[in-house]
Amino acid sequence: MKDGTKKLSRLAVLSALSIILMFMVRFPLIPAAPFLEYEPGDVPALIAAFLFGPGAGLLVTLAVSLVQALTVSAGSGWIGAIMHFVATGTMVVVAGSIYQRFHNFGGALMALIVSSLCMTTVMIPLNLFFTTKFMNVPVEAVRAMIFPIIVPFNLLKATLNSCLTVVVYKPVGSFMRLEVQRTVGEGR
Amino acid sequence: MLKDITIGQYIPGDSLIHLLDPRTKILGAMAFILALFIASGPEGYLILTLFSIIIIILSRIPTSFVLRGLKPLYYILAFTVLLNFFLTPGVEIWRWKFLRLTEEGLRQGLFMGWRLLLLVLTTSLLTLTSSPIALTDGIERLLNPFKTIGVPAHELAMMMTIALRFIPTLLEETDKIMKAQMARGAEFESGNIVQRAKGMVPLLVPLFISAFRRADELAMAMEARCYRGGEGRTRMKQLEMKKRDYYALTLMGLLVIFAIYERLCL
Repeated sequence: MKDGTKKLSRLAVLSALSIILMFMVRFPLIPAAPFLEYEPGDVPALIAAFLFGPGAGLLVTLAVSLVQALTVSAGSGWIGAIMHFVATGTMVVVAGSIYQRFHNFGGALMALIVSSLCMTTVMIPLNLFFTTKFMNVPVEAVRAMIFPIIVPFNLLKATLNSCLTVVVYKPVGSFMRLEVQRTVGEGR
Repeated sequence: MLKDITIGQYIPGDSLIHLLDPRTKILGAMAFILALFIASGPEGYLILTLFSIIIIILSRIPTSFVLRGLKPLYYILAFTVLLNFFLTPGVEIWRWKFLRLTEEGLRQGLFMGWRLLLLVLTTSLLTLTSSPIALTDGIERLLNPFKTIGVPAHELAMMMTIALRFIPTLLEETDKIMKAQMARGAEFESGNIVQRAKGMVPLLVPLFISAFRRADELAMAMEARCYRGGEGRTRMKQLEMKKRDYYALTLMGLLVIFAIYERLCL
């Protein structure tokens, strides 16, 4: 049971970090579309997936989406939260599953590349569905935005998040292992 | 910058809406959204608008607070209305160069804008009248039936509670680390995309490590107090469905049925 509580509290703190990063760091990536803002909120979820597996990553994503829907004023919050959950969820589950199978640096890179592509693909029908249904924007208007704006934005966002994850995961992961060794050593 | 972030917008009170069980409020908000998307004509919208006004008055939240929830939506609202104004095909009533306003577009745009407005005003009452912790509790209880298919309801709610508790602490920590790295010459706010992403590394690594330290300390403290998961846990504040909750849920059910009736028959 001991590991259970530790894992739970670590996942909780990662969710908190994800929410904080979502609020603190925000800037538009593509000058033509200032309403699409980059935020590194996916990094903690990806790290959770790498450390504890895809299920844990998905749990972090769900907790973050729910907190987002409950605290940030509702309305766009609900739609935003669903979109965030599906997009980040896809990325996290795909990345976590691949990294679990191939547990080395190459595996991590492959996991991030494949999951970025999956996320970008999933966002196409999602945007078509929600933007048309919710704001009643004609399908053609959204379709016209997909290749010049939505796809490059999501690709760029996923790439940046992947790079940050690779760079951050290494020191954080080795710190965790160190900590485990220390506590095990103390236990004896 | 850090002071601007308010997580949650709960305004304590003892109105009828405040006293409802969080589960009732979550389900009620869902029912309202459903009714809003089903209803299609002026009759339906009239009833839904009246309903919103009544519960806003009942909640005794100052109107200025309710309207503040709309602020982040100005942009999206304007976008929706204008796009509908000028992109809907139909009878032309006004034209300026390439912009053409049609009768159908005018109607459609106002309709969509109104729908968005009602959606935000009413659902923001959910977060205005119940604390995040109460809502988390409500979600845990609502997800309980799904435990059998493997939804970790308790773990999820516990994670959300801890996350909410730790957001202010970690924000302070982030601020501290940012200042410490700025004193060493780090740049966070300038440069192109790649430089900005690169600049985040010296912030993220110490932030993650200190967050994990805190998490481990918390786990220790929880275990010292005999935390062992959700099984058999007792609570200080037990959620209880009262008569008024059942009345409220019945009312919301009727609203949805009315919306369906309006769509099909009126």
